[in-house]
Amino acid sequence: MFPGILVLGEVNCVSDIKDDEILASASQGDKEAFGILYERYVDRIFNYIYYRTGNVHDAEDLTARVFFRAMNHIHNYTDRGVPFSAWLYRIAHNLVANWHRDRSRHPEIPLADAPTLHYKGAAPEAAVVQTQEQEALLRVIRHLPPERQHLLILKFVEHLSNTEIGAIMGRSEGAVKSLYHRILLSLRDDLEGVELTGD
Amino acid sequence: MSTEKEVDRLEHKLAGTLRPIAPRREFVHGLGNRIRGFRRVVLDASATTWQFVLLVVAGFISLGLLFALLGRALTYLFGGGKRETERA
Repeated sequence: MFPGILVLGEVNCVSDIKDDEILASASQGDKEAFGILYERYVDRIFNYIYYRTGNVHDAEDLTARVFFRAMNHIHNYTDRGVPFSAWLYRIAHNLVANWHRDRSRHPEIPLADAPTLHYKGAAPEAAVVQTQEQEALLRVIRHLPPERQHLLILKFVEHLSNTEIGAIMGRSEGAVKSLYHRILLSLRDDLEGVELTGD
Repeated sequence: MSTEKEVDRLEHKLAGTLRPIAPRREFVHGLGNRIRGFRRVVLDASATTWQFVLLVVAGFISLGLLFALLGRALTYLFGGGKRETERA
């Protein structure tokens, strides 16, 4: 049993415990500790996969696979000074890459009865609705290289700083800043093309 | 439009498009239960191992008792018979 939970008992206190401490227990096979990590990161991994795939069903399926894969390999996890989320994002990245590869081989018809999603913090009745302009922008983003998509998701969805993004992506703060600027210029050019062709 | 203004406009568009989405509660709870359910399976498995160990230990004790009883019975039958013959 994870000692932090046993001693503190309160759910609120669990949020104060650092990842390293929880990871130490989780890597020893403590599933309760892994459950805490799951609760801490499920939203982030789901958002990453959702924006990479654009499909709620697949995002849920792949999110579940990320956490089951992580749970089965947590004993192999070694702390190399990068955040734990970087490890989860790497698993998610590999699964999304496989998903894209399989989809290109066997294209699927999207399901019409996709569950309704909501923006975080919004009223439950306010479902996610994207304008045509936003949909066009998302299509262009999904054609960017995975690393660039990742940076945009971390910056806009997670609201992380360049330093935090660098820690996750294994880049320096300056390299993140430079890559971000190049992404913006490339997106601007791509969107000009989309607007001209009326896509 | 200058590049700076275009980039600012694009950043504004990105902020409006890439917004954090809340995954469905049923999904999050369901997956959480499946993850914690995995733990229960492990606990059950370890409980079964303990039960097996207890069963083996109980089996050895039973066998020991059985041999002791058999030994005592044999001693009574043969040893006691001998003594009766000696008395006669």
